[in-house]
Amino acid sequence: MTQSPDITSFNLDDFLTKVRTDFAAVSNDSELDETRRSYLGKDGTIKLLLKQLKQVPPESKATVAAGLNEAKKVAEELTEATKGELASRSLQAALSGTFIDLSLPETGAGFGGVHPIRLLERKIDALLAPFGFRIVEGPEVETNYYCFDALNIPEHHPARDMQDTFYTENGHVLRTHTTSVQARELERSSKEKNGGLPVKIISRGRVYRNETEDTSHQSMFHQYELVWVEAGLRLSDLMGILSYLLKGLYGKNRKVRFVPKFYPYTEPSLGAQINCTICNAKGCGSCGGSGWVTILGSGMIHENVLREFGYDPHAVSGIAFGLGTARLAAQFYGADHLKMLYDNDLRSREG
Amino acid sequence: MELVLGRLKELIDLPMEDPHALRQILDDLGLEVKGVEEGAELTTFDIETLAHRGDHLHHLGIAREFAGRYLHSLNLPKLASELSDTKLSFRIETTECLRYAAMDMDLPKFSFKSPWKATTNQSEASTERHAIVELLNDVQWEMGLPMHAFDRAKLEGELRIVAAEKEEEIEALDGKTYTVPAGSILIRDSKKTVAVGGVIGCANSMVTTETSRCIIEAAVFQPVRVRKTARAMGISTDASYAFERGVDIEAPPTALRRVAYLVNRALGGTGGALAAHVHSFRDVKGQSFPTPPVLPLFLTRIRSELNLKRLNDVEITSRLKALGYLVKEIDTKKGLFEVTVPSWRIWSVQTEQAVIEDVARIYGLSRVKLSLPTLLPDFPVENPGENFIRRVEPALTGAGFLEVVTKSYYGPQSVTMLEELGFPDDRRHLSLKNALDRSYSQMKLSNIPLFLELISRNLRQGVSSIKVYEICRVFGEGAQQQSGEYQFERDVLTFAASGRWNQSSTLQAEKMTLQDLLLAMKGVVLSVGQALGVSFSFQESHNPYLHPGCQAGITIEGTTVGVFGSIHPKLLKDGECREEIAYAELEIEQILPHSKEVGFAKVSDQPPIQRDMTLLLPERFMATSVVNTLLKSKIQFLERVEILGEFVREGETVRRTTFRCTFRDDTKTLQHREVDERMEEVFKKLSSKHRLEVA
Repeated sequence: MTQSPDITSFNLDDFLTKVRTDFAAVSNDSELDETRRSYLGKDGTIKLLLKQLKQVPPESKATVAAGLNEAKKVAEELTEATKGELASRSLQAALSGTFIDLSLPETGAGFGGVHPIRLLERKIDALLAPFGFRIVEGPEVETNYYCFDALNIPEHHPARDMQDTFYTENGHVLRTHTTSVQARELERSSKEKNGGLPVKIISRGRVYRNETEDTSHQSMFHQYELVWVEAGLRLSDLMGILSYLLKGLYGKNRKVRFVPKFYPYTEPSLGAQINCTICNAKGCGSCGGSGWVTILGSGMIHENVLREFGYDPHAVSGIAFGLGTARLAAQFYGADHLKMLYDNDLRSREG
Repeated sequence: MELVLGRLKELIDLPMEDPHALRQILDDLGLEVKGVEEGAELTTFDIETLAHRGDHLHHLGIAREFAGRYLHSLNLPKLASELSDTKLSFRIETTECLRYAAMDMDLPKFSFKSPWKATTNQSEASTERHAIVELLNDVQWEMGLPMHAFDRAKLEGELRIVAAEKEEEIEALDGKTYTVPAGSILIRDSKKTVAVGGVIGCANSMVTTETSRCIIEAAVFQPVRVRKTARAMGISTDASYAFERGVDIEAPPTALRRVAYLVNRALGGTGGALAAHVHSFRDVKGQSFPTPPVLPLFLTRIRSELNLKRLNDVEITSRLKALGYLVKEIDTKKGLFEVTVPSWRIWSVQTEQAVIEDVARIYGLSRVKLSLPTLLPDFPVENPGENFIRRVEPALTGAGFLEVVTKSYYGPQSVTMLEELGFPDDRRHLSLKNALDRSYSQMKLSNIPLFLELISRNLRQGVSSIKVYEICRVFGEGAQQQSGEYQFERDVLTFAASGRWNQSSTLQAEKMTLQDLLLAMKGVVLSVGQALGVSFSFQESHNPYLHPGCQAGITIEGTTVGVFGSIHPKLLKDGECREEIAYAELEIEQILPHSKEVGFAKVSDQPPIQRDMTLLLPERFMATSVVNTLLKSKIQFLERVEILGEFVREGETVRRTTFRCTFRDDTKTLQHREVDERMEEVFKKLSSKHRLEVA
C-alpha cells in the first residue's frame, strides 16, 4: 500500500492492478478489513487521492476523477466478493473437519407397525367410508341363537357340526362368522324407533372353525362383514357396491363377475370374483384353471333373518357381504401363505 | 359331481361344445368347475355343487339349467312303459319316509357298463357285484335318485319302513359293522333290518352274482334324518349325500321305469315295453309327503332387483317354465304371478326371493345392471374401541412396537403355569369341548403365556429386540360373571418388550438392564395414556404373573385400569425364556370412560417456582407413593411432583431419591417465602404418612 499517494503519477490501470493484487492476497477477515480500510477508509489511498484532485491540470481532471471513482467502485466490489469468498472458505473448512458415517447402525426406538390384517381392514374401511357405515363389535364366545338359529341355520345344518364349530364346555360356541354380530345388531336396532333404519354396520374380527391347521387353513382367522338394511335395497345395489369395492381394492381395470353361491342367511347369495391377476383370466394353476378368483361371499339378507328380528321383508331389504381378511391380507402384503399372518415370526415382519 | 359332456349332450342340445366356454356358463349357473379333463372320447368337468342343490348332483338336473338358460327342450331318458300298482306288499310306518316305491323283478345275468364310465366312491363288499348295482348307480348319476337292490331270496316276509326304536348294530354291504342310532329309518323284513334308509344296505340282503330275483327300492327320505343317521354312523355314501341335499319327490316311479328299461335293453329287448321280468311294483306316498310350495311372484320386483326395467314378462316366465316351474298369471295389471315349485326344487325354493334368485341366475348375473343405492347424509359415531386403537397405534408403533395376532386359546400346560401362581381373583378358564388338540383347549385368560411363547421362540430364532403389542380379548368364567351371563370377554391392550430396545446391532444398543427395560416400558405406557388423553398414575400392585418386586398397577383417578412389570421368573423358567420380559396390560373398557380428545392445554402466565428434595426411601417403597400422597394432599400452589432419579450408596439399602415439586399461582407471581411454607407442609405430610426423611 502506498503511504503517500501522488495524484500526479496516478495511472488507473496500474492502480487497479495493485488493488486487485492486494485483495487477492487477503486470507482472513482482519486482513480484509485492513485492506479495505487502506483503500476506502478515511485515510485510505483513494480518499487521499481525491483530496489531491485539485492538483491535476484542468484538461485531465475529469479523466482522473472518473478513474478514481472507478477504482473506488472496484475496491468496494472486491471487498464484498472477498468477504463472500472468505465465508465460503471458512464454511468449507468447518465442513471438511466433520464426518459422521451414517451407514453405521441406527439407535432409537426401532421400527414398529400395525398388523397386515389391520392394514387391509383400514383399506376396506376407507373405500366404504362414503357410505357411512358404523363399526360394531360382538362376543367371540356366542350363543347358538346368534351364531346359527337367528341366521336361518337350523340345527341339522352342516355348519353346526362338531367338526366345523368349536363348542365350550358350558354349551356355547366360538363364533364361526362375524354374521353373529349382524344378528345382535338387527335385534338391537329393531327395538328402536322405525326399526333403527337404516342399519348400516361393519363387523370385523376373529372367527373360529374346527379345521385342521396347515399353511392355508387356520382354526382362527379374521373376517370382515358389511350389513345394510333399509327400504328399497336391491340385488343390483349389492352388486354395484361390491364391484366398486373390488375395483377400489384391485384397480379399476380389474374385471369383476358374480356367481351363484349358497349361504343360509342370504337369498339370493352371490360370490364375487375378480379375474386372476396371475394369468389375466386365461386360466392357470393358481386360479384352478378358471381364470377367476373368488374374493368374497354376499347376498340379500334372507327374509327369515329379517322376520326373526321383526322386520317386514316386503317393506325392507338388506344386503350383506363377508370376506376373509386374513387371506386377502396374505395376498396384498406378500405372505407366502395364510399361516404367516398368525405365526408371529418377527423376522418376517422386517421392513 | 363328475359331469360328462357327452352324457349332458344326450339330454340337451348345447349351444357350444368348447370346454372353456362351457366352463364359463357352468360357473355362471352356480356349478363351479374345479377342473376340466379333456379326453379323446370323454370330456369331464369336476363340479363343486352348492350345498342346497341336490338337483345338481346328476346330469338331468344340470341339463335343466341349460334348458332354462337357452330355452332348449330336454331329451328325457327313455323309460319302460308305465308301471301300475300291484300287490307288492310293504308298509311305511315312519313319517320320515316320504315316499317308498319298489319293484320286484327277475334278475337274470346280464352285463352293464356305463358308456360314460360312471365311478362310485362307495366301496362294496368283497363279493363280486351284480351288474344291477352298476346300473342303479348309473341311473342315480343320470337322474339323481339313489336306489337299492335287495336279494329277494334273502328277504323274509313283508318289508316295513320304520323308525329305529333303539340303537342297533348292522353289518353293512361294505363289510363293516355300524351302530345305527335310535330314530334312524330302517328297512326291515319280518325278522331283521335289511337297510338303513337313505344311507346303506345290509350285507344280509345284498345282491350278488348269484342273485336271481330282486326288489329294487326307490324312495324319498327326510333329508335331516338321513343326515343325522349318517353322521352318527360316521359314514357318507353317495346315497346319503344325495338324500341329505334332497331328491326329487316325484322321481321314484320314473327311476324304476328307467331301471326296467335299461335291464330290458341289457337283455336284448327294445327296452320300451314293460319287461316281462318285472313281477310287481308299488308306489306309496307317506303321511308326510310334501306338497310343492306355491309362491306369489311380482315381476316388477324382479325387474327392480335386477335393475332391468325392460325385462319382459315372457322372458321371465318362459325361463321359469323351462326350469320346471308351473307359472300362472294372477293379476296382469300388478304383474302378479303364482309359481309352483318343481318337485325337485322343493328343498331349496321356499320363498319368492329364491325364485328371483333362479331368474337372476338363469337370465345371467352378468346381465344385471349394477347400481348404487341412493345415499342420504349419514354421520356414524366412531366405535369407541376403534377410536382407542386408532389413538394408541402411533404411540406404540412410534416406540418400535409391532402388532401381532396370537391365538385365542392355549393348552393345559399354560393353565398349570398360571394356576401354580394363582389367579388375580376367582376367574376360571373357559374350556373347549372339542378343541383341535389339547394345546388349543383353553380360552386365554391372560395373554402372558402366548406372549411368552412368542418371545421365547423369536429369541431362539435370533431376534435380538422384541417389542410387540396386541389388542385382543381374554375370556373366562368366574368373578366377573354377572347375572344371566355365562362368561366374560374383555378387550385388552397388551404389549411386551424383551432383549434390546433396538433391533439394530449397534454397539451402543447393548442389552438393557431390567430396570432400564421396565422404565422404557413405563415411557410407552405413559405415551399410550397421553395419546388417549388420560393421565396414568402408578401404584403398588400384586399381579401373580408378574415379578412381585417389579410391577406397578396403572390407575386413572384411583381406578386400576392395568398393570405393568416384569413377567414372573417362574413363568420365564417354565416357558424356557432366557430373557426378562417387560409386560403391560391395559383394560380397554376401563379406560374408555376416561379417554378425552387431546387438545390444547391452558398455559399459565405466571412463572413457576421449583424445589428439589432428596428423600431416603426404604428398599421396597415405591417412589410414586410420594407423588400420589402429595398430589392428594392438595397443598396450596403445588402443581406437579416429579421423580427425578435415585442413587444408592455402596453398602446401603436405602435409596436417595430426588423429587421436584413445582409450585405456581395462576393469579400472581409466587414469593419464595410462600413456597418455603408449602415445602414445610410437604415434609410434614411425608413424615407423618410415610415416615420419610430428607437425605
